Amino acid sequence: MKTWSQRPREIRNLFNPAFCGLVLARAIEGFTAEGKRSMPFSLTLLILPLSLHQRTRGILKDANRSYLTSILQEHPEIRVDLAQRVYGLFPYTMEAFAYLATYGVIEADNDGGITVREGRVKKVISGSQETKDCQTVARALGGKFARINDRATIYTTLGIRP
Amino acid sequence: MNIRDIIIYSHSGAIRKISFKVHGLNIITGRSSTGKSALSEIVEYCMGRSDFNIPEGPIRDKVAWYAVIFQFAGEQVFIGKPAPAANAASCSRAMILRGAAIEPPPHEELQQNADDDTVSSLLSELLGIPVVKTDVPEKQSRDSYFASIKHTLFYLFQKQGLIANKEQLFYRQNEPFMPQAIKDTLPILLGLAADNRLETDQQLRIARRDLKIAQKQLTEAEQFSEQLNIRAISLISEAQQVGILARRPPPENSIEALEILTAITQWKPTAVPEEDTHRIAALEDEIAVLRKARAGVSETLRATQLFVDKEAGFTNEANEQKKRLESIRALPENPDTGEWQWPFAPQNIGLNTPIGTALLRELKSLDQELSTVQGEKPHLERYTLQVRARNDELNKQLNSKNEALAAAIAANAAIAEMGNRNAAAARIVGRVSLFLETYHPDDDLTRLNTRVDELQEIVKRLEAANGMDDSAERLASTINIISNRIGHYVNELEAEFSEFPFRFDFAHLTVVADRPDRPVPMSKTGGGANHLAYHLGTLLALHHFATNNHKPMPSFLFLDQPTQVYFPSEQVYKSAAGTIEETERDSDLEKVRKLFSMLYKFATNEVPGFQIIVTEHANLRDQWFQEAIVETPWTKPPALVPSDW
Repeated sequence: MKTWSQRPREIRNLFNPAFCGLVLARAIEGFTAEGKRSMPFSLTLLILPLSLHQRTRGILKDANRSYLTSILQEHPEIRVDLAQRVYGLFPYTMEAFAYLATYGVIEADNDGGITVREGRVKKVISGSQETKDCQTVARALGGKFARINDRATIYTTLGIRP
Repeated sequence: MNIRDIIIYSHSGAIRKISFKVHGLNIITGRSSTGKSALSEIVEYCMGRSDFNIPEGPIRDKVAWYAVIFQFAGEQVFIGKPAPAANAASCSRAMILRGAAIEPPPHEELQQNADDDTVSSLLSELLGIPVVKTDVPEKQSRDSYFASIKHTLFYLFQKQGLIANKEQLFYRQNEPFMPQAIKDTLPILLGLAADNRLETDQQLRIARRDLKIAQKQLTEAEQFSEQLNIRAISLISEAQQVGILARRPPPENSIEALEILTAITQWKPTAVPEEDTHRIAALEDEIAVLRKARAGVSETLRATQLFVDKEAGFTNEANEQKKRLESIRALPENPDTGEWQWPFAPQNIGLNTPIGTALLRELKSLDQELSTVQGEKPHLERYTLQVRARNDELNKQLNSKNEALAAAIAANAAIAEMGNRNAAAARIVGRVSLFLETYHPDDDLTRLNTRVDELQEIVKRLEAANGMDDSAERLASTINIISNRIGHYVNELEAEFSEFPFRFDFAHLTVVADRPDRPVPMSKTGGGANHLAYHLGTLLALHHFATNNHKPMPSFLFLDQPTQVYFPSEQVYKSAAGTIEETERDSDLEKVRKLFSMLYKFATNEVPGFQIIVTEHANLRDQWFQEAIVETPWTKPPALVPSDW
């Protein structure tokens, strides 16, 4: 991974750790609100690739009320190159986690689950339309993951493994 | 696709699980009203059918959730569905779990995460049912639809009233529209529909539409013996550009075009009009937007194509749609090769903190869980067609905008060159009158004629390609193979007419014995034992063909009380109640044994991997029979539902 000063300006802006961290935190909030427990680490890896990718985000946003399994049956194109995207965004996810950890926003437990500490992230989602969309989609996605409640089902349905 | 477990949950959270041998013969015997017949209803309910047909009684009162674990090659799928609300007759809520080895989750973890449509399309995809629409002959009004798991149910269940019914061969055949659905979908399930039907259909539709347009233009042209010409349109556009003509939609036919052009020749020089540069700028902007959209679309198309092509040699056979799940390489070392796979991090990265270990352990446990699971290839054909259509559409728009831009620029250049608009206008008017003088509608007629001929040729070729699919002959030959096999089983059961060849009559969905003087359909034969033999013969022959040829058909068969016909009366049959002694005393023992040993042979030797589940009142002392029994005979109703629930 390139050091901060060597990254192209677009990458620095789009994938900056504060924003990525915020998106991740929204997803974890959504997961915990629905499932009443911490979010498994393996599932957090899927948040950025699914909510920052424009086409996928559009699909998830339009189909906000349906189940994730239904959405994936209807839009198999989400799976196109997904493994590649998850792999590509993995370092940014880790960087965002490091950032969140530095500011004491997240907590990891012994089972490899992650929670957001109460009161560390602003509740209100604000910003430009696109940044708001990223956050709302991520939060909804966290909720959807919690409803399925099974890591293997989610990974299998998306056609990937760790 | 086989059935591994049938599971029911009580309202208080207790779990009752009935496990089956995934391959081979399974028998559940016992007294009447112990819930045997409900098993097939549960399976059907959990295969995505919303109607809930389990009879009123203890099962309905005490069960909160129904679930089935299906076994696929390399993967198990848990489908759970809650009992419908008290006053509802159907329910489409469902829960899906997938994995290499699934244990039924505890009651408190049951949670809806899908619906019947998702269940149906997931099972269809895992089974490998091709994405082919049913064939509807032209001029018929019914809609074409995609075949799915729902259309396999006809061949999987033979319920109590049906198994010896002489009027009806398949399950649900007596319901409205079902016979047509069977005839529409069986060819697809047997892999007899053309492979690239979707694509050629699309091309054919486009070609036919183009042909229709061309023919319409031709008729119009012939009718008025003059027609719209590209040059006329470009002249009109140029005239608009120099301001002789007000902006207006393009003319719809040649008469209108000629009227406009004639009007142009009446033009008299007036005050110098303003040069119209806004139009060019606007057109350029529109083109830029279109180009960007097209670049996005073709990138999507390319990525999808690459993703699809990664699996070369894709066929409709269920086995070959499987592939390993794709790794996202989130573990520092490749679990298979042990190689370091985080290029962004140094090898000695500090992973030995407690948190780091916990996170990696979580990932690794998931990876182990998934290590044997196979994914299915997503069906992206429909999506690709959509993207391609969008691409074509954008190309068309770009072309027409480019033309308009070129004309506008040309006219502007003319203005600049001549220094004043009137001169430019005069030049256009000159060209228009030249065009009108030299205009020969016949040339264009010839051109249109050739175009229609060309398009007719294309349509003919595509239709031939579509018709060349020899699916009709292949269907006939498959039906023949199945028919030949029917006799084999009917013979074994020593049914009437077994000396004559049998035929599966696909048009009437029945079985016919071809007697030399006249054919005898099943409905004209007598005797429950004969009807039973014809039913079993057809279904076993069908599954024999489907499973041995890897067709996308679930490889299990539910038979409800087949041996009833070998007992003197229904009353006596019921009183057998799963005991060996009663069976031996009251029944035509030889026939009962013959029937079961045929089923046993079928699922063990003839079609390895097939699963037959029989619910019965009879019981035999033979060892193979006893080994096929799934649970000790159910004697106390309601045995399916434990009495303490």
